[in-house]
Amino acid sequence: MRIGCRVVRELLSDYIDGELAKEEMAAISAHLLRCPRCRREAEELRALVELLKKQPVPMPDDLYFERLGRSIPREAVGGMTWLKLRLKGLMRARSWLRKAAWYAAVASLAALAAILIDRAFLIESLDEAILKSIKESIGAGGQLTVARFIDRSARPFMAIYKVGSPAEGGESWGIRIGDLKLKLNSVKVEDGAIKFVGNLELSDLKLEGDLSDLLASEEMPLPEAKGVKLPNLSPSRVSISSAPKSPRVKGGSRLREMIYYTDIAFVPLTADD
Amino acid sequence: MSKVMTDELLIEGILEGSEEAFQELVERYGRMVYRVAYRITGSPQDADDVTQETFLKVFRSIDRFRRRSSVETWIYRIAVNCALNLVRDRREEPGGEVDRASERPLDNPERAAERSELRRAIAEALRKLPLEQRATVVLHDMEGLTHAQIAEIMGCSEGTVKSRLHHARRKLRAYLRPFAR
Repeated sequence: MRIGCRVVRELLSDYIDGELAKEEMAAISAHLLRCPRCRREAEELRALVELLKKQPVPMPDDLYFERLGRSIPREAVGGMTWLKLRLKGLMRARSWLRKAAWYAAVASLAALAAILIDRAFLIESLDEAILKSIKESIGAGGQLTVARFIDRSARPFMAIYKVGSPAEGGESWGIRIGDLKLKLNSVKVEDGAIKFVGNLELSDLKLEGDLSDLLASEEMPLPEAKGVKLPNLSPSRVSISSAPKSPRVKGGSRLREMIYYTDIAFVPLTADD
Repeated sequence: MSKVMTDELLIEGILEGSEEAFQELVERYGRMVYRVAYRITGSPQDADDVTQETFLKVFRSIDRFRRRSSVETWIYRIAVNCALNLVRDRREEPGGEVDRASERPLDNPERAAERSELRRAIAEALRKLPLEQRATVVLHDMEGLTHAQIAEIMGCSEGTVKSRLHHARRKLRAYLRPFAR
């Protein structure tokens, strides 16, 4: 296709945006090679677009945007009064937050999750879900005490779950973890379960009983004998999930991704064990 | 991958009267709205007015948000309409748009000396464009939106977007020719 200068100039704007059909793009490229005037015009147009792209906007400071939300009158949101909305929201028990926790679980990009995990309101949902996950994995009869400490100022936020066996009573547990430190980096769903992926740090990990079946995987960084202090596993990655039941190790890649399920960590040993 | 706390969830949150969701939506889109408002109106005062009006409208009509378009596009549309209406009103005022738009903040002195002339010329050139062309060139060449998004925001066809862009750039090039080196 051979086209003249008039047509080319009409199409130049679309051409520099790459918005033309393949043949048209090729025809114009060919024309520009042999026509210095049109070529100059195309260059000028490109330079203009570059110039526009670089135009700065003097933005107000962060405080402006913080205040902005508060300054918008609340009396008429979505055709209802703010008070009514709040009441309605309370009655629906903040279903959006529950959904948010689920959506957060679906998202798998660690960085994005980390940004949102900063948000206090999401942290609460996550914390709840993690506790539930730990408790579920302990089992219905679980009497472990789970104490938690959340450092909201840490980035990514840090949650320490202290899990201890019951101080009294006949039941003992297969594995006791002194401090399970979990730095949440991302949240995702795998096999239908919500998983929290983060850095795990274990300290003073004590093993009791026979865990060989449970921890058969050779890639699992386990101490050689019981009672041996486990080296700091950070920055290996940990997932907490209520399912499935068996430990799995993902990887083979250079960055080995360890996935632990809480199920493996808190298996109650009966008196027969 | 989309944001973890999706825009749709934020809207649900706002409809449940959640203060956090309300703040988060403003936090997420406030800068975008201010930026496009500034680019269309050319004045910080007007950008401020447009930004506030946009969020007021967003919250008032939030129950009418339909998921046909994205939240971003929806907010852009409201912001662009507010900005264009404001500029239209200004033009009818005595003194017109240009006077208002010349109230701009002082820049860092050295950089201002270097660039202010060209910057002012660009702002001036943009102001000379018909409003639809101005908004189109702002959304495409400055905000980096696609033709399809702009068509949705402006309520026109993609063909119209392309044609407005073509004419706008042609005029801008002519206005700015004295600055070409």
